[in-house]
Amino acid sequence: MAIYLYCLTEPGCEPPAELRGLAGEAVRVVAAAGRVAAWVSDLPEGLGPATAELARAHDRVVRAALAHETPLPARFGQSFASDAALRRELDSRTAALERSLGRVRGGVEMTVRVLLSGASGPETTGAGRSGPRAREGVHTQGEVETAGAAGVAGGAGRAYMARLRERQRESAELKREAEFLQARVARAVDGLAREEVCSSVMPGAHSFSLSHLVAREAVGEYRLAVDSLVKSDPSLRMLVSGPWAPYSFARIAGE
Amino acid sequence: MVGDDIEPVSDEERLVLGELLNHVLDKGVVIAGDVTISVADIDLIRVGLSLYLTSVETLERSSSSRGDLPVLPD
Repeated sequence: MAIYLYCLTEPGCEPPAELRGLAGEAVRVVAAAGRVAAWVSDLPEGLGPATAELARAHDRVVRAALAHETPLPARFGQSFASDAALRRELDSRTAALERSLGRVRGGVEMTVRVLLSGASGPETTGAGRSGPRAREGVHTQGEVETAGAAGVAGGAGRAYMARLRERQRESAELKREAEFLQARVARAVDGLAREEVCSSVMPGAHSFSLSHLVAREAVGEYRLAVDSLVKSDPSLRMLVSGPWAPYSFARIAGE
Repeated sequence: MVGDDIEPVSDEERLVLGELLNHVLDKGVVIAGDVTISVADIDLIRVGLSLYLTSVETLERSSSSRGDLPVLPD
């Protein structure tokens, strides 16, 4: 039977007996080579399309692992034909996975969502809504080229070029603002964050997120640091969330 | 399409769901690309992002009038 992957852990991290994953299936461990183990559950056929409930179930299992020790969370939606098929994949990169697990050990992810100014709002940037998914780095101008083809084909050349220039100018301003704010947050949490990842949701969103890998015992201090940054400047608009399992820091070492 | 279970009550709940989807769907370790299953439906990502945007906008308005900082629950 196919199995569904939630996260990787070091050996000895056991799921609670009552823990249930997708479709109410029990969560169990698949031990791999080295110091690598996986939390999985059977994946019944006919689970249907993705729902928010399935995404929540995935994160619930990952959080159960996080309560015990910091796991390497898997991206939502990965299944394998069998325990043996998963073990083959894991065993082909044991050393890298051990390094990745070591990198997040003792840490949790805290995320600051930073709202940018000058937001004309998502309603006026419809192209951005279904735009490219988040990539690392601050991208605020990804939709410009996409909009291009349609505009030129429409023949309204000059107006289109003016619009394009306006959007590029606005994008450049947002990018500068994002870099400036990123640096301010980085200074505020200096010494508290082991690593930082910056990602934007999408070009039209006028917000971006900064995720930090923070030692468990430093979470309170981290919240205070962001809070006092915001209190020091009423123009700053930020939302803190976490602790999360370190989704943003769950890359395979060397990839 | 996405299931009908996305009916969060408050903007804050929508924000939490949006942030959850943002973490779970787009990040996390990928073990083998060719076995990614169909539960990772692209539509869910779009719904998550638009949920997120509308709630951010609303919170933005309310927080600028209240002058304080909404903090997402753990």
